[in-house]
Amino acid sequence: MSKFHPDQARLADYVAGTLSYHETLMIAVHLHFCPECKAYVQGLEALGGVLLDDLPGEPVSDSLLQATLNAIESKPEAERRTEPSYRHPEVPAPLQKLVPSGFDTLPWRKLLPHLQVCDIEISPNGPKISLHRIRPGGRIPRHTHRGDEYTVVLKGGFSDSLGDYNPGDFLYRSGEHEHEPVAAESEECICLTVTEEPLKMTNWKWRWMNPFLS
Amino acid sequence: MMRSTVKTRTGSNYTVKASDEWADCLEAIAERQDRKSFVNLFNHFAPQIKGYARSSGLTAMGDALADELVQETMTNLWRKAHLFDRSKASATTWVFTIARNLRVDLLRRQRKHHTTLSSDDLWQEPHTEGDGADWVEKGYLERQIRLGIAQLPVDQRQVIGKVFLEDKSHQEAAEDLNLPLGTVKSRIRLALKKLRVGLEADSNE
Repeated sequence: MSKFHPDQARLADYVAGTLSYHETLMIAVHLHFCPECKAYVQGLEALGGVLLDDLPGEPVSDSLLQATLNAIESKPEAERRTEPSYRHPEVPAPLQKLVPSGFDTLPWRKLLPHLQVCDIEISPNGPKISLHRIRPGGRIPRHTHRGDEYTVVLKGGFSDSLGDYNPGDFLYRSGEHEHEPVAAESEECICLTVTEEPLKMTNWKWRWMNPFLS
Repeated sequence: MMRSTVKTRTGSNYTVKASDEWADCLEAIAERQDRKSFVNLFNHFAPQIKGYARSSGLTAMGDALADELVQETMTNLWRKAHLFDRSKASATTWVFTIARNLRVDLLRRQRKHHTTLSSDDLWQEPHTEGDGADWVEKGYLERQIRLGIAQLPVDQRQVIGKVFLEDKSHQEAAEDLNLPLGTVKSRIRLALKKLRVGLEADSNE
């Protein structure tokens, strides 16, 4: 059971559909792990329905009804209930299309001795969506991020000075936050991360890395 | 996951009659592609969806988009009616989630913002299997929300309406209402708490 959740106002924005693409994805992945937030989201969706119901309606033309009737006429076959397609058991449902055949087959690249990274979606008008993988017990040198960072733990766990994080935990850190994460000893740790800018080493031993971290 | 038995277990007669009527229509479409039920649904929901399109700013990109949202949502109701499960969500909730998803997809298409995942990947529809759904006694929850909204102070009602049905960030809502951001945020928090959306006391907030 995850212990670190998105706050309720953010969940409300998720339900309203007003968050950015990557924030929406991070919440969707958290919900995959967290029945508590999922139940809360269902409550918010009921609220959305009630608000929609209260909205003063706007007249709709007869021709629109006619056009809609024609549209359903041309697609008379009801969509069959599709069996959930195979998915890799390690990969949460919302990430399936981005990680179709499991984490191991991804083109990981080594960033640091204990750390691998793989960008799973890069869009010209948004931040990168990446996976980070830390070896069991791996320690990442102290760093900050040049922009805000979202993390959801997918596998294993890690700790920093603020807490211990397990699968499903949702973290939002501002760019100034400095940390030195350490993966749990028992297994590797995989996290989904969205960073507006690449990380920036603050430990003097590693500062030389900064130009290479983009 | 097995089909839940919430429906039969709850004896009390709290469900709003109107929403049962729409659930009946959806089931009639699922079972026998009943056109008359579809027209009933259209007459009820199409004006609301169009109102939603306007309030959420879709019409800023032309009136045609509002009609497109109406038509796409209604066509989806027809095609997905067999997935509707009244023990999981009311018809109104279901319509809201479908219209929201299509609205987001429409906007992304308009802005040529290509993404790998579509709305169906990012929001699990209320009909899909889900643990945690059962303890939410939905009829109760919805009735409570309806009562709660009627009793909300007007300033909180206004903020909640803006956040849900207008495409406004908290910052923009604050500018619209001429309020500091912190005030908007605390009104949202208060309103959600009063509406008891989560049923359980949210002590950790």
